[in-house]
Amino acid sequence: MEANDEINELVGDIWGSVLGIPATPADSSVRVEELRLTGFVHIQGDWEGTVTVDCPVPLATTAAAAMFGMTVEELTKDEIDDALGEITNMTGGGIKSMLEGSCKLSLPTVIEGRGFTVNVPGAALVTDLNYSAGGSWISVRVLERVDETGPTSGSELILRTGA
Amino acid sequence: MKNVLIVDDSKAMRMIVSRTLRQAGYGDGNLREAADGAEALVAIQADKPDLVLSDWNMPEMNGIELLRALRAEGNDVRFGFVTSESTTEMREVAISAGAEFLIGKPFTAEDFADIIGD
Repeated sequence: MEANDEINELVGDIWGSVLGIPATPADSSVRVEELRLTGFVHIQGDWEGTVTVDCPVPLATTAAAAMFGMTVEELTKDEIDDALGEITNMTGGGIKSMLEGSCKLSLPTVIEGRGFTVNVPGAALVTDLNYSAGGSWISVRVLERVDETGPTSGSELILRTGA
Repeated sequence: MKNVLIVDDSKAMRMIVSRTLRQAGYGDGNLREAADGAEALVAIQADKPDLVLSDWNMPEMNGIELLRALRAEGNDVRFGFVTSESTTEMREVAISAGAEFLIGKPFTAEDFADIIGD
């Protein structure tokens, strides 16, 4: 199985099985003008990089309502951030499990805003996957840290296949 | 199984684990929660749960540090990880430290029933 297929399956499981919001691969990309949440987790070790999960605030709110078993009106901002943080953690953890070698996952961070782009200094975008979910969109990106000699892994083929 | 302590820094995940436990048939007993390893250590000493389900990656005291602290003080409570990081290496570390199992996120009620058992 290709790495992107594994990530597609992972994202489908998290949004579909856990949240009851089916997510299917789509051609769309991040719509920077929308008010959105972005979750980050960093991976350090034999492979170093960052996994980001982006989605509009209304979809993150729907996901949080599903997680907490509450209505969207009852949710606080902290709960919505917590939900996207956990979604990011599950996504990053799943991607980490596809990596060769020994790595550690950071705690998640979540930011909210519109019109911003995400740059991780010293990292290059290696995977950019987009999904349609709940009438909205999700973006999952993997950025790999690079040094003067190239990616920390020495190869972009670090993702295990068939895992 | 009567008392389960759920340890996770994410309130959302504690709720999901709690809901999944009920779906898997473990809803009859007390389902308690702790937000990190340090809080869990105090709760375990006080409440003596039958099972601890812990996240791995948490602030203050993480899951493996909690498990090692428990075993170091002679506490042999049933202990399993529920974590997004279920690599072979982590599984080996968990088992060698005294964990009974490691459940990867995302999970289902069937996963809980199969792995946790009676």
